[in-house]
Amino acid sequence: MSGTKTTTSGGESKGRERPRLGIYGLTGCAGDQLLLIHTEDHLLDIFEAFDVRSFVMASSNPVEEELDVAIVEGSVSTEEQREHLLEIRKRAKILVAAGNCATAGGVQAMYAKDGSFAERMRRVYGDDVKFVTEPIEGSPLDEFVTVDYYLPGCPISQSQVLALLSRLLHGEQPEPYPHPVCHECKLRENRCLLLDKKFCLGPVTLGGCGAACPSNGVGCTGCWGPNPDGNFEEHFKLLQSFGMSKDEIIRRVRNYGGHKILQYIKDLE
Amino acid sequence: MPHQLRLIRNDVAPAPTFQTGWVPTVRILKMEPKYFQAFIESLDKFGRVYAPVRRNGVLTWDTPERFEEIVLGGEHTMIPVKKLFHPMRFDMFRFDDSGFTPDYSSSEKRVIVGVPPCEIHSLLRLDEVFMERPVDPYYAQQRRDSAIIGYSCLPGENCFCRSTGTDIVEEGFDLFFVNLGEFYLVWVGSSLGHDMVLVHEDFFDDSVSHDDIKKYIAWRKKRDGMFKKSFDFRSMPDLMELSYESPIWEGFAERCLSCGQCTMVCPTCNCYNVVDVLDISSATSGRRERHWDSCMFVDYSLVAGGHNFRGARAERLKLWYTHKLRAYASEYGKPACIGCGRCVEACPVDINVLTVAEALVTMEVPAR
Repeated sequence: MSGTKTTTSGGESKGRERPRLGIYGLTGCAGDQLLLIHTEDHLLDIFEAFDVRSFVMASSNPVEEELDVAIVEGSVSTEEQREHLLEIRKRAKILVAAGNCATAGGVQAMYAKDGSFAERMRRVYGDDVKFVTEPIEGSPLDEFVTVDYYLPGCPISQSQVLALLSRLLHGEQPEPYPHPVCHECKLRENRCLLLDKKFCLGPVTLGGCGAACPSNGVGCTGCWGPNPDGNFEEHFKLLQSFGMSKDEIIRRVRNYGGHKILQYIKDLE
Repeated sequence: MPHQLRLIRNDVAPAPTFQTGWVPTVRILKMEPKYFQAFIESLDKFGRVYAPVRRNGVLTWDTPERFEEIVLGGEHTMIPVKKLFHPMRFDMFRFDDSGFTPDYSSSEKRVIVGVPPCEIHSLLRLDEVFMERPVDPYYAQQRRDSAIIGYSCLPGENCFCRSTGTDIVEEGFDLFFVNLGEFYLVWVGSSLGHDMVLVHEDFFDDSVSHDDIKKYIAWRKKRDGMFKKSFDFRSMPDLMELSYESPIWEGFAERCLSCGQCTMVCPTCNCYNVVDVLDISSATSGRRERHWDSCMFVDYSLVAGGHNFRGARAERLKLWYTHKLRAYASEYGKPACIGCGRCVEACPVDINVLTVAEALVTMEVPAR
């Protein structure tokens, strides 16, 4: 965003053009939108700094016009959603994918691209079902449109949302955070579960969650999606040495890995 | 444990003179074990007491609620004492149109009880990094505000501090307690330590006999014989130099998970990242945050323009071990490993100072 459009503090921003923000949800649990409305200490600042045009959790009178920033949660799971996404993309200068469903496809994409979608549809809904809108196999936004920024997570992290919004607002470059869950896990002084031969996807999963699960003694389930720097081959070997089958490991990383895990496991299956 | 005893371990080079405010040891005192608890409990006059305590099953440096919580003499904390001087995450300052305001609120007067010799060495190494000009004001403040009460230990399964020459200390403590069972020998290492003794002078006896010292020497011999791990530390700088292009690095890289645990548990690792967190409410204000970083992470050597000097895992591993075993020594005269064995315990795939040292000698990556 250009500097001229940037708002400044308090009364100064009044009367000046504030960046227009739209927040949308496709197929997902709405947890990421909920997190945005739950930013409590910062919510007024966000509404002061941005001209929030569309956000169903804040107002039932959206204004669907040009946007500077669109934040989209959820996977694309119907033809209607695909068209909606294309339409948002057309009028948004910056498009942000928020949450695991939007970035990777979510749990609804755990069988992504394995060819079983039609059969699964038939088994659940039967033959000869008329749909309001044509179903699509759950997909992340970037299967259909260009995504400018990704906020991974299930749900997303408040500090990462605020970092992104403030950087965009003030014309600064947001930075990626390509660290594994292990970083925050060690900072929380947890004993590594892998040392006790317990299943954990920490090293191959993007951090940002504050190591929520390992801090409670539960192995990381990979809900922030794959860590592109992860050593998948070696980590799978390590988990196999604990007595897990490769099929079981693959099934587990696919739970939240959606479309994004496929490139990392294609040579390992 | 003072310089008088160098004659016992004269293979260890004396520490370079370094000004941190420690005074040469002048006194060795004796204390009966029955006074120890009361003495430690009296130290809160000098600051908030920190010690190794168990939290969620993990030994950590924290404030004990009761004396009985303190774990001394062997088992070491998972995260080393560096976290009290080089915090995992803190705000350095707030900034706005008019400049910046440093935030030193994380510092407080503290008495850190139970620091083992190797970790006292680690703090002296960190001093070399943070107290050299330009002095890091956050670290320096924490260091000035903290008293160090050292405590002897017996080697654990993975300790090899005898190989790194960090099993004894000559400086870097205010008081140092050696637990000989029937009594403590207490070295007074600073005027602050002396003040602490004065509060309960009746607990201490300054008539240390020849027999007492003989008991101490016997204890040292016993301890020296208990080490199960060792390596030829002094040949490492040359081996590292010769092995820079060795295929062992690629071999370790295939195995490394890049989880960064080794760097976070290492008492001398001190890399951090600095991030400006901008306020949503204003274009010109925000805070600068500092948090632990690791050279094992892919973006560590990423620079402006998108070039990454150490994108490959092998390059990252080589950097760490070169730094620990060679580069640090050429800059500061001592290697950066203090022989605590934390990397041996932390790495899920057995990449640590000992396995790397073995590979440097055999030119083969040891099996897991």
